[in-house]
Amino acid sequence: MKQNMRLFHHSSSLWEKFLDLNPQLFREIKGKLRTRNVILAAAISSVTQFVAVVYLLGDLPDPDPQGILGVQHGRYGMGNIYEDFSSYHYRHLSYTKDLMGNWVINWQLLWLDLFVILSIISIFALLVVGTYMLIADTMKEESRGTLNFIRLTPQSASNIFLGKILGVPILLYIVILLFLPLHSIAGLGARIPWTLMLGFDAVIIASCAFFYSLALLWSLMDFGLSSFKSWLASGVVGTLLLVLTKTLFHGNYLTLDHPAGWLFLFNPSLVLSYLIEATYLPDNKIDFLPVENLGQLLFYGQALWSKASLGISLIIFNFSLWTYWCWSLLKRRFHNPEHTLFSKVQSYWLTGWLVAITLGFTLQSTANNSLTEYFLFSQFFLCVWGLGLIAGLSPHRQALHDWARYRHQINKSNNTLWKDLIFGENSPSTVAVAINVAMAIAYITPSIFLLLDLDRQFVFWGFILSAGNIMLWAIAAQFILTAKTRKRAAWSVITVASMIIVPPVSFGLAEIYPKTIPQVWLFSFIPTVATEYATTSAILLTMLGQWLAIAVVSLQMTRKLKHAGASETKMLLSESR
Amino acid sequence: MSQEWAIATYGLTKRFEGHIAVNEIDLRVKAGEVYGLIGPNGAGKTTLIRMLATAEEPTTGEIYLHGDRLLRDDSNPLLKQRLGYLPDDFPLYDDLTVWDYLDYFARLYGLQQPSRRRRLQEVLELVQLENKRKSIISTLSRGMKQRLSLARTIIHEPILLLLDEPVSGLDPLARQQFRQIIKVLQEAGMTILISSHVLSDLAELCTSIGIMELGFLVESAALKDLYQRLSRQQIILSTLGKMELLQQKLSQNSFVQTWQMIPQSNRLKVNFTGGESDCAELLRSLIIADIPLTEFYCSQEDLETIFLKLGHQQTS
Repeated sequence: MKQNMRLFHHSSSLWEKFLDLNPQLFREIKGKLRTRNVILAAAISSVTQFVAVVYLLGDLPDPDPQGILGVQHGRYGMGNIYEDFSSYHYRHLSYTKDLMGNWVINWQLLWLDLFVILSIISIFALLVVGTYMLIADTMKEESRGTLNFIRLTPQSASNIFLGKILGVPILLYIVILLFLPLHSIAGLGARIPWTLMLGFDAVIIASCAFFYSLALLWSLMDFGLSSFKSWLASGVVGTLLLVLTKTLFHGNYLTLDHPAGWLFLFNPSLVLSYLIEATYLPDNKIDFLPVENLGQLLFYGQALWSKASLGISLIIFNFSLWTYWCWSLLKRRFHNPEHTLFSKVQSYWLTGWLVAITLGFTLQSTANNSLTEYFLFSQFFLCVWGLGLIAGLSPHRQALHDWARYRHQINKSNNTLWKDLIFGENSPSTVAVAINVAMAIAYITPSIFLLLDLDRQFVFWGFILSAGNIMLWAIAAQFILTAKTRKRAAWSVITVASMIIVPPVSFGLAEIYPKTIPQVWLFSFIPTVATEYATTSAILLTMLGQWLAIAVVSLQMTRKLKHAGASETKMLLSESR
Repeated sequence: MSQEWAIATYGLTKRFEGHIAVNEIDLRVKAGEVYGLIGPNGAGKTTLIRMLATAEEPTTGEIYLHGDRLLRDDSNPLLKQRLGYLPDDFPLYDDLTVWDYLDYFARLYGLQQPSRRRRLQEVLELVQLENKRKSIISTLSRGMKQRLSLARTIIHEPILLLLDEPVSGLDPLARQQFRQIIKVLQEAGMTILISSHVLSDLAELCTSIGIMELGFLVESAALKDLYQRLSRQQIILSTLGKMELLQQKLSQNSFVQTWQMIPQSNRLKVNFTGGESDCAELLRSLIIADIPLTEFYCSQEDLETIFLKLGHQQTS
């Protein structure tokens, strides 16, 4: 008893020390870990597990000692195939009895089903509900102004956010932790090696780290919609997970040899493929993506996901890499909420990583036709990233005006204008966006010319025209962000969105197709749909048009910035003249 | 960058759109001072304080606290340890108890046991909230919340306190309690920068005063110097005898500038330029002249009068 007391005391002091290390976690625990809440969490966990077990047990045969029910069939039978075409489960096996009169049941499959159900529930709960909780909590702190007090303390941003990630969804963690005993028993019952189960848990933890960091970053982004932000983010995460998981569950015919396969690496359920494979249950028992199909996913032509150990490690690496970048942006954003989402230097690194990985997943095949399609996909991705760059790099009116007005005062190191545009804080984003896009195209172009045969010309011109488009959107967005109106952020989104959406919709309505009049489609979101049919001179003219438009808007913006940068005296003098 | 200044700003400027909220301010506050910042609404006081507390990024200019450059990142945790900031809206966490709230901030500032518990008790005693330590914050009154916020601001024993309108919305009793606390903190050697519209409070608390208008710091001086420079001494006189005789006698004194009758009373308000001995001499001469004086009372123009005399518009 005495020993127990000492142990308790020892652990409580360890707990105290742990809480001392992270005051934010202390605050979350104090605010949320009330007896009533813990009991509620435990109850939710128990009821969920109970329902899952009861649902599965419903598939077992009814006790029928007299044998009056006839042939019983179900998912866990081990007899002959029972074909009943009127039923949804027509391919189920019949239940048979052994010599002792006991039902012969495929317990391993039942355990596996329970394991998979609990895993999917955990993943959805952790990623969707956890994301919602974190965003709602941070938004509440930001709108109330309490986050400012935390900013003023000597605590690092990492410490605060770690405390938030560990503490805000703490009741959710309790629900999921209470799943663990049954989850592990189910896993062992399904004869999944415990090393793989640990690997799966590690992937779930890594996915939480990524999605939670992204959620925190999202909550610190200031673009209005504050009440809607948490619903929007958890809705998007939920829908994405639902679509990807549903695809995996009818994955016997799913092939992953497509750049979109990368998206699946963000769904921790993918790892279930390895776990199911390790049970050696026949493929037709579980309609989930087989490892064989997962192995078709290539990265720079290498099948890296065919082995569980390497596959799981790479999935964890993928999550860790993007968690690291979210974390870098979070640290920047936490101390300076008015700054752009990322610095120009960060944008170059991010583009480097993204393009390297995208190209890796683009090169899935050597067949010319498929590869052309995959390059189209990477072009689409480049355009989406271009939009991200515009949103993350473009400073707003106030910052731009301050930059124009006080650039010479602030820059004590006498940076030249070019250096300032490439690396500086709050300078216009256009040059940095151009560098990012140029970097991306420079990295992709050799592969286009080395691997493509007939289509290389039009794919390349497609990329060049895309670059022009991105530049045009960037400068238009930046120009509108300098406008005097209050809703300038919304206006710049509307402008860029209409530049993207309006042309293809109106061409479609006017029944102008890339094949018939390719010239107009060269201005669309994916110009490659038209470069195939357009003449070189039409492409060159389009480029000229793009750059002329860029030059005109640039000139207009330079004039505006010069005016904003003029001192009050100069303005007064010019007005009086 | 001299170490003797608790706060030193150099060309501190903040622009919002075309409007300059704070314009090239060179503020200097000595260590141990209580510096009062006054000015009409919109003069830039809150923006200045927010910049000093790193809650707002300056457009240009530099801030030094005790000789160290203040930047808006996590590069200087020591500087943040020295700083306490109480904004005018004092947001709190409604789901925590008073004790847990203070404990949380004590931990954020790295206070370890057992000194953390001791410090918590000290500040609760100072702000007179010992009996509320287990209460949930949402149940406290406005005055209590204000005092709790002050407790949070000083929990880590900062050496520089920035208080923005700390007594706004408080009843007279709560204001008096607040003044008492500030005095205790001043005696403990903290440098305090306080902005307020209640000039009588500032006159009681401050050693120096800064006046802001349209983003400029138009006046910054020790309160004593300000009184000496701008406050006139006044003497209130009343007599049972003839007023003309008193006025005749006053006109003979070289320190008496002007006087005026206080309406509906047999009293005069005299603007007097002399010192204390000159004042005593005047009283003696009036008594020798057999003027039956019933009142002879010396006073100085208060801070509010000085402020209004300077042509600034105090709006509340």
